[in-house]
Amino acid sequence: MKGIAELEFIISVFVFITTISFVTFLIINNIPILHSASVSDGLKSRSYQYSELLLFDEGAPMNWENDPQSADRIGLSNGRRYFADKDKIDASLCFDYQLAKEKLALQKEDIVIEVSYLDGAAVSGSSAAICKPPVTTQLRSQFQITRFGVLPLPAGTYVVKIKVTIIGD
Amino acid sequence: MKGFAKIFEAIVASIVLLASLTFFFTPNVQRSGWDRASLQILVEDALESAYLNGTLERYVKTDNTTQLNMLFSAMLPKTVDFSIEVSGIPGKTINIVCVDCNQANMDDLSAILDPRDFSYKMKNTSIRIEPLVLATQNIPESTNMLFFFDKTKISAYQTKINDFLNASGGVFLFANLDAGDVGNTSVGNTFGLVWGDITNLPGRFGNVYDASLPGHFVARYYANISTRHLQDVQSETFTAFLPTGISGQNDQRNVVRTDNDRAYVRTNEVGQGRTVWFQDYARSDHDNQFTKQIDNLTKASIMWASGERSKLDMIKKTPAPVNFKSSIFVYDGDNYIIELTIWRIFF
Repeated sequence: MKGIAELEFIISVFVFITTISFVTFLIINNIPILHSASVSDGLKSRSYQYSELLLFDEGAPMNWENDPQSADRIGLSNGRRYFADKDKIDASLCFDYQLAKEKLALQKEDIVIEVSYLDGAAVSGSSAAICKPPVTTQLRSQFQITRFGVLPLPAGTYVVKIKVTIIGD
Repeated sequence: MKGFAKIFEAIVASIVLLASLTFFFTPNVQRSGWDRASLQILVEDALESAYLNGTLERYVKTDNTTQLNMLFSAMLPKTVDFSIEVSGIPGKTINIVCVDCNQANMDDLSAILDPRDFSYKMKNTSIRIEPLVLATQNIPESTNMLFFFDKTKISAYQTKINDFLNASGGVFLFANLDAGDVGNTSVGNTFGLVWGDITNLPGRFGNVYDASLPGHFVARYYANISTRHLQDVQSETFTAFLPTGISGQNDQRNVVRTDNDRAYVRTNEVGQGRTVWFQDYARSDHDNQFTKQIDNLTKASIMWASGERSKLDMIKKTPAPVNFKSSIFVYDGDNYIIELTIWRIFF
């Protein structure tokens, strides 16, 4: 019976192929889970980094609010830890979003920055969002971190809520 | 049949093999802990901004628990509950139980602590005194301190005293002691007292600037309620005490001691609680300046022994087993710590 494979050989090849396929499918199925966890952690990490940057950094130059177009970096601090600057919040409002993204070194991700008082009232303009993309989507993965700072105004020093949302690519 | 058995064996073996492989290829995604980290960051921001905003110290000073709780409720997520505790300054009310005291003792203690409603650094503080027969009655839950005029009651109630101290309570013994009362006795062990030689030299504070010493806090309270500054009380002498034979032990537990290392006021810490032994003094006239001086010192010692801890919750709260704490060091005339304990409601 030369040329005809034995039954044992056929079964062993079948078992081998099944095993390899099974392992391959297992690995392939795991990749999206691990990728999703990685993306999620990355978003969380970046939203924390940007919240730190916005809350504690004055930006560069320190008075960038006078000429937002030529700012190297934006930040909402007035120089004292946890103290925000009203002029910088106002300047961010009318800032060009694409340029703001560039100043924040964001490439594929989007960012939404909201500043409001504790009762939810907007600090600047009519909306709490001082920086957001023209079109927002709920389909892309995103993470929001909330921070608190203080805003010195002539009428008093107010606690403000700063929400930073990073929207993944 | 032999061939079918082999095939069956091979199939079973392959199933076992595949099943075992799943163990090695199951994705093992560790929890990143971001939910907890985000909450902790939020709490720290809330404390810091409320402090910088000025509202935190204002609400603590005025004991405005309603506004304080509303402030943190507005800042924290709805899925968490919290408890606020202030440590390092006396609470709004110091509840003293005078153990086995008769009316004369109650009147005496009231005269020593008069006025019992007073202001400490613009914070209203109140001392409440009530008698208790410890043999038959339970210590009320709100009690901060057990006060004894009778030194023999310490050994009689040693177990209850130890339980109270372990629950962060304070014990105050106001008595003139002799050699047989101290050393390896209930009084000696509870208050950390040993005998020396009798002296009637005037007493004075130790180093009032060292914040690691109980004497610093007592001196600070004493200075404030005597409308003085801390530096002014450093060299002040107390002359109305009865002679003492309690050794100062050359340690840091003395509040008021003599130049030859005898103590008039000594502190101790037992378990989670604090104890104070206070030497008796001449007090026939509380308007006498030397008596008034030691009246104020008694009140200051009571403020320290009260534990310098108070909750600022609107209702009594018990944190969940899984919780975390965040605190802030506040400078508001006095230094104190505000601690926020946070836990998830659904844990």
